[in-house]
Amino acid sequence: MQALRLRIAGDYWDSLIYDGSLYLFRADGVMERYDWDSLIRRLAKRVSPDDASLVGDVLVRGRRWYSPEIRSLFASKSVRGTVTTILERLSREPLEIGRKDLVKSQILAEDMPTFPTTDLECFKSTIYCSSSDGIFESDPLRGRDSSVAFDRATDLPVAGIAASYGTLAAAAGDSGLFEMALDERQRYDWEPDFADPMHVSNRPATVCTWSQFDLVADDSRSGGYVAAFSRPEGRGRGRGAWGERPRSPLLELEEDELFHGRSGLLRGGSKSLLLATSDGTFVRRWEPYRRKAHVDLDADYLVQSEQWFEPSPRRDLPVDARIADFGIVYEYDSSLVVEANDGVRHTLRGEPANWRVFPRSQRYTNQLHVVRSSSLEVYAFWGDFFIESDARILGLPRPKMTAAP
Amino acid sequence: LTRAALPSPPYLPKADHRDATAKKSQWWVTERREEGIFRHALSALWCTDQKAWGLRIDDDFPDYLGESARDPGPVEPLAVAFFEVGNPSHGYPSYCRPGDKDAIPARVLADWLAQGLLSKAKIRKLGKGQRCKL
Repeated sequence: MQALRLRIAGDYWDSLIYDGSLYLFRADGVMERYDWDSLIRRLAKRVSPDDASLVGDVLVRGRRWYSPEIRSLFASKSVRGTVTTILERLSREPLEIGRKDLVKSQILAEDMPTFPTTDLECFKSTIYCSSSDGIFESDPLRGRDSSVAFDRATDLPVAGIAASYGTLAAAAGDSGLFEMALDERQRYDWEPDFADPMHVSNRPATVCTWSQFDLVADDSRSGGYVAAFSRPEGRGRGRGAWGERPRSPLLELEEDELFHGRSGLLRGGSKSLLLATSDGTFVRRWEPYRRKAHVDLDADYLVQSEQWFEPSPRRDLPVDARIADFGIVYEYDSSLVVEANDGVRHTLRGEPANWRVFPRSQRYTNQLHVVRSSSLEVYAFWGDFFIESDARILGLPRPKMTAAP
Repeated sequence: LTRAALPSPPYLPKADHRDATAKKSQWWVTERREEGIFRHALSALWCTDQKAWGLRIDDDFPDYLGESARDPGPVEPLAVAFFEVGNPSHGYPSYCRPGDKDAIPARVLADWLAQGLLSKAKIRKLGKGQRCKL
């Protein structure tokens, strides 16, 4: 699967993209915010004036390409062929964004409240960053020229964070798995103290991901588990809508219970659980919304079909892995491997300083950000747009490429 | 006031981190080098009042200084030492896992990064408790 590749030179630590803004976290502990849309608009006009809108759409509104309207256009072979030819040409070499381009789009630069961060998250226009100093939150989106004020949400040392369903999950290493309500409306009636993180599990967790409203935690030494919750009720049944009634923890399921005695890296994705082992990758459908509310779990509802990806990209256990809309991304000791939805494997050589996908994003689900020693590389996978729903190995189902009536 | 200005605390290597005790991580460096790593950690301010974190730096490059315990295993090389500062002080190779008592403070990781002792990738892996091969 091909991707447009952007290269932004600089000594960065991490990156985020959210709602029209690119956040670059520099290796000297400064956070910079850029107007992503204008940055890409200028870049697209410079590299390919005739195709500027096409390039811009791939990089700025990736998710729109999955809309039924656009997909009905791709039902035409000639349209698909024309678009593919242009994008293939532009994907041959990385598109460079220089310091001059960046400066024109810069909105602000602020010191980070903690550095180096262990993880970053953006949810409901608030940035969260974690480290051994705790979790800090900001609201940088209130006004284009405003400065950022970070507050410490907790002093709990945290290795990984992930937000959904109005809560921020926090993997606190040997201290276990925690949750923090991010909005008063999401307050749990059984939560002892709203200001303090709620202890979900004592089991060690250095990574946390979500699968629907369940938490999926993992630790490289003690293994992974699903912290299963009761089904939230109310409106927005299919999504983590604000105002839903609280969910409460039911039980924990270990990876070997879920994957027939196997162990590896356990990660959650939309309606799926992934177990990456040295023998292969196993994926289960995971549909906790089929769970009966406020009753004990029924295994028949929990465990759906299992799918085995063979072969594993490599014969050693990954350092990390994530489920993205365009496929599965594995990190090994000195490379990243993208197992794309069309079955093609891409190896990005070199040990990344950091990397990130945005599966919960409204606009950037096709992006993979890879921080290198002296640059940020942004991959915008566009080949995924042209894969028929029933040919996709993994990921969300997409509308079929059928012509509009 | 810097730590280097304080009286140097006595250091006593512990035998069980050198005699293949299964539940203890094991040093690869000599006792003299072990103490040197501790003293350097203090002088570099990679420490708090009661804890310190050290690296083995040879010719400006980090190297493994020991290995993890056989029980529960697996045995893996370790790049960071954790020290309990007291009277006497002692230390051992450690995973320095997040949330554990020997977790490395962000301030210390930031200094290792700023000094170029470890790459961004290694710093990230240590901070997140991920497998970290030098």
